[in-house]
Amino acid sequence: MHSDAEVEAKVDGSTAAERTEHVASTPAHPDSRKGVEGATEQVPQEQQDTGGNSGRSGSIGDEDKDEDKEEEDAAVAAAARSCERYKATLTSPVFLGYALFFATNSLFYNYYFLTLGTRLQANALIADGEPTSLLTLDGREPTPDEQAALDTAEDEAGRLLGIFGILLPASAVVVFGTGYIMDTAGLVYAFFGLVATAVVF
Amino acid sequence: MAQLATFVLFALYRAFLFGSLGTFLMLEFGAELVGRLVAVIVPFGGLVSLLQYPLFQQAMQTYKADFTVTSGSLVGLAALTVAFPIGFGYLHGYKCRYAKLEEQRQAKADALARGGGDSSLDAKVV
Repeated sequence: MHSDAEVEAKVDGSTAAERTEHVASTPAHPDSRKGVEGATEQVPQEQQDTGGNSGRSGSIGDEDKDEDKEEEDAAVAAAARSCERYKATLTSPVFLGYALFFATNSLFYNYYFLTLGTRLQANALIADGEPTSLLTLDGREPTPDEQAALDTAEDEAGRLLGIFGILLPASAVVVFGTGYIMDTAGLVYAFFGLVATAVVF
Repeated sequence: MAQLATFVLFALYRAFLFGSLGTFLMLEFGAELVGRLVAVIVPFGGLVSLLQYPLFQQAMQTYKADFTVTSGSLVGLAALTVAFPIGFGYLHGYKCRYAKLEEQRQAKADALARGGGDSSLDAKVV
């Protein structure tokens, strides 16, 4: 990355230098936005040599075209470099490792939220030593005791999901705070992940 | 109470997972590629997350609403992936230490060069 940045800096630097040199060496144009000092001072001399603006208008048009072409070439080169970096990144071990890390953990927390209600029901309804839930009642009506347990579990799930609405902005603040302090939230995340998994058990 | 604590931790866990996504990609690969890399990683995570449905079915049908096996498998898998931030943090620390040493070496070389230049000037003056 550093080498790329250096290369880019070098490329940009040389382009800027070339442009400056180019502008400084071109006949001055009153409408020029480059603002090169001394160029405007050359105008009278230039006008004397060429006999006025009329003789220069053609060459200025060509120079503008050249500048446009240079800028276009630079943009194309930058896009090509960006594409190369993107391709290289996609196959880099760090990116692949992070993609796997992210995907696995996405599955983990999605699974947690998907199963939350059912797990609470299963915890509430333990019949004959085996956990059960609405989905494992096999279509039969729950007994009054089972129904009461299911209602309690449902209330608990609803309450937890309601808390989620408050936790989201609160957790964003926590992430921002720790990210600000630590520069990257990766290790803090790993810590919370481990604690969360421990509590699940 | 245990469920509540777990839920709070999971909400934080989720926030850190997504919070670190942007931070990590930005710091490691540069702002220029962040959009494209997020566009690759998030759908990939979504595709892998589709596995939650077969896992749920497995817990409900095979294990009769007992979530111990599926939850345990996922905890094991997630714990394995923690090796990535730890390993990366170690490598990053190594790079930082190396960069610092290189900086010190460069500073020492510059100081020596300056000192040498001064002494040669002094010699000429004398």
